[in-house]
Amino acid sequence: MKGVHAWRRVTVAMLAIVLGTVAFPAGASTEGAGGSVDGGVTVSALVVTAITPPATPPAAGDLVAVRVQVRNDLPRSVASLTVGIVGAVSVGATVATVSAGQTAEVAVPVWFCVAGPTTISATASGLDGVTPVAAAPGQSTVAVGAGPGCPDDPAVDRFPIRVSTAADRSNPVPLDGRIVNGIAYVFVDPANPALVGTRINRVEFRLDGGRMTTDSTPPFDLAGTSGSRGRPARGLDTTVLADGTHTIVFTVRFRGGSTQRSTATFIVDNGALAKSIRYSSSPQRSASLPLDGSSLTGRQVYIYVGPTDRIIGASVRFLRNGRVNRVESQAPYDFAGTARNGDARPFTLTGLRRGTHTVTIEFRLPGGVTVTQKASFTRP
Amino acid sequence: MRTARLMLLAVAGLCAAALPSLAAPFLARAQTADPSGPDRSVDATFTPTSPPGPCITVGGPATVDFGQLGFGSGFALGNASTVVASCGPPDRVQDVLASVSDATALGIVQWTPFDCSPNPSARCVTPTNGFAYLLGGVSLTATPRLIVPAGRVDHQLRLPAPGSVGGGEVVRMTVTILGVLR
Repeated sequence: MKGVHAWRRVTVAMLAIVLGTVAFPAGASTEGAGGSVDGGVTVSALVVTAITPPATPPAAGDLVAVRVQVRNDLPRSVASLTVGIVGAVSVGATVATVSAGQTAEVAVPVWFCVAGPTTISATASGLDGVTPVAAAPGQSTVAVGAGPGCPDDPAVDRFPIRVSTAADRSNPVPLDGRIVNGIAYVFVDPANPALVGTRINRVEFRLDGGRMTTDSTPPFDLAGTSGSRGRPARGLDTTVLADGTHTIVFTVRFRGGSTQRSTATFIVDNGALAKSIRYSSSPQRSASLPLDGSSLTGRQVYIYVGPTDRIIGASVRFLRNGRVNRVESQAPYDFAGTARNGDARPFTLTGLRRGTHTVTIEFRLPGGVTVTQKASFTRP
Repeated sequence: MRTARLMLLAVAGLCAAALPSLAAPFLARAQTADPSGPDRSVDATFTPTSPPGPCITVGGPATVDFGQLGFGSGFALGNASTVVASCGPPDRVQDVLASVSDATALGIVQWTPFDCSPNPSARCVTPTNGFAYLLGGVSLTATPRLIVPAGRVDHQLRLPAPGSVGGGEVVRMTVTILGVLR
């Protein structure tokens, strides 16, 4: 039996040696002549490529336009592009659609409330068909100078004035910092119990330092209240205002004799974001097509901004391959200029090198807001 | 004694079936040992041991995630490292080489590796549809390239230039690490 025990010990030792040889060290995934590791990355559909604060550093309490560039890296359009700023008070801005490979530059109104270095993040989101897509936030630090700062209680002091796109004042948003267009219904928030009801005598509005309007019946509307059933608001036609920044000073006069005066600043945009770069084979710009993604043959072409209606107070800079090609201050905005009879002048394609060319338009709006659009075409 | 011998042979056979190359030396040695005396014989079979081959362990997660990146962004560090260790014969020098595959999304090749050497730094600018992959600071291509022989290595990825395909997709590539005896 002694021999049996000896063989059993040999057997156990041999098993331990064999099994010990093939056992992987803790955490190892592979042993042998080679191994592999899989890498994975999610490619952003949208990329924040630049955040540009105003050239002049803002003071605490200033409303300024921060320009955010967002590139669409999908091979298809992204709809309802929305750009926002985190880190300061902002209401964000929306662009309708960004084509594949295009970069949209969006002016986002931002309040800087506190003096000192302020880090802001730009976010962007949109719709790829029905699928939401978003960009990883980009960051920038803005040096904010000394200033009066923002009101202590924005809900009472800064934001009681709101805007709606409907006469019934539905879905109101704070007017301050908002980009508006078309008919806007501006009113003092009737839902704010601190300001409405029996405490307020009337509200006085003054737009851009012009004529004062008054409403003494809640809800207090900038353009007055219709006598129709339901007392719908009368609208402010922003198309008669220049695109750019505007200010409403409104004074709430309380029944006790005290007043509260506040300011709301907003941006009117009735054209720049709705326009695109188009081309036509006709000087009358008929049967035009989007320039972006086009292949241009022949000797000449007519490139212009469509629709051709003017953007009040705007100048339009055309750039080709990054260099300023022309500045137009009157509509229609033509890449090669406009003839006396209103026709577009031709852009000569002869001699243009083969390959891709990019045309950029910059709409420079009053108030320091710039909206940029790009279109690329190929010369086969 | 016969019981012991049978048990031994059974175990050895089991080991040989499971791991023939590793068990072969032990099996051969066991079969030549005959404790039954000079008047008994056992047919002995020798399996020549092959020369020791290259051996490395590739440790750490089998997948490295780089999160969400945009075209044109700089090098991004993966969420895990890989530990490469040698388990080859101690009397031989072993090189460790690595390569990276094309990057694919949904089975379709999107990008090919771009060689950033000899300057695998932030100044390495990737082209359209070309990505850069650094393993332990060494720029990988489709051809195996010498990397640090052992230790913990980081994974870094730089996406292709703007205008590349694959936007909005989950893109994957495979890093293959090989041990080669000199």
